[in-house]
Amino acid sequence: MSLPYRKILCPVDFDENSIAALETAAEIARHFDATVYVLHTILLIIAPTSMPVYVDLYKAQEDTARRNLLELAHKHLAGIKYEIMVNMGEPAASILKAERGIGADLLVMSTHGRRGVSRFFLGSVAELVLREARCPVLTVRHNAPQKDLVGAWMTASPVTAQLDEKLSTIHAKMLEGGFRNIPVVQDGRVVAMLTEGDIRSFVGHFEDTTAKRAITQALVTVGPQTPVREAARIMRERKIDGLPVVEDGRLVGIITTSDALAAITSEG
Amino acid sequence: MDALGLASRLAKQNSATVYLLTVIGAPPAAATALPPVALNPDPEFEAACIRRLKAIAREKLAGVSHEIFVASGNAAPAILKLTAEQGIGLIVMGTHGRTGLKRFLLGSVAERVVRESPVPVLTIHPKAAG
Repeated sequence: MSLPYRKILCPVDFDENSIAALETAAEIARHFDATVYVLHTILLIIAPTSMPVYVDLYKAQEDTARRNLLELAHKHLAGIKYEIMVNMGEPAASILKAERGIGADLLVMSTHGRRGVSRFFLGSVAELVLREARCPVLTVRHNAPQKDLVGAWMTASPVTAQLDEKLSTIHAKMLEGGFRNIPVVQDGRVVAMLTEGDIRSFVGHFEDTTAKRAITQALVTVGPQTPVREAARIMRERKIDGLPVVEDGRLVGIITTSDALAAITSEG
Repeated sequence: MDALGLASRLAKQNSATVYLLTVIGAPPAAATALPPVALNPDPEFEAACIRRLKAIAREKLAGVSHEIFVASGNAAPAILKLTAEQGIGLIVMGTHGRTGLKRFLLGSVAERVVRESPVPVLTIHPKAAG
């Protein structure tokens, strides 16, 4: 192992997690003028001892992997020295073999998010690599909105009502958008959620009632980083259908019971 | 090079601060039949840990901006908590440096930190070449 890093190995699996690792590898490579070795391992499913290896089949897979790697490198490693490598077999062994083969002095790889999405790094692969690698291993977490967080499911930039707005125009907005809840804002800050029920109790008085008068519920907000399950729990406990999503004091979205249901039913 | 040496060099290169943390472990739950109690480390032991960390810092972090922390309890949560509290951008740690059971335990700490850390984790095998 040596600083500065000259040879950086980055195993990838063509998913968004791997891209995060590749971009980190690129950043370090730029810093040290290093070469990035981008490695993809094709899982060898047929045991070579029990069945003949279908050379043609794997050849096609290898060609595809090579093409994909080139495309990735072209996109994320512009201006950086790189080499692409395709191995076949078991991923951990392949990574360790490559590490030794090229004499890598840094390995950059991604870990899956809280809900494992990358088959490549599930379970024993990352663990084996961490334990057995001779060079330091930098693990990077993919930071895009995670599938179980509000940010991934909310409706961004929702339609809002003003605190002194008449119920007639608010009602029209809700009808038009098919909303059952509308965040009420004042001076750019969300102050309440107005529900269909709140409005309904003023039927016949829409013209002379403002949002301020119709509000019945105390404001509860969540953030984009709140787990969807937590948002669902709040809505169930308080018997409400939607929550404003607030980040740094700013309204960034709204999450509803249907969003939460969609999120929860999509979990595999 | 060990984790501290690597952290020191990276910190020097990037004018960063090294947060040197040791975690005083709680006895494994299985080893005590007693109901769980809040275990506060012996203040004298804690003071000794701080002295030791200071000595290590003098030797290995000369000329590098650093801070010293002693926590108690389970190592992985303590590491992640300090990371969040101090807004740390990179965790550098050894995967395992001991033998037998300790080797296994240390490996599992690194593994948990790697799995749960929101920031990049640089792990280094103590026997790493160079």
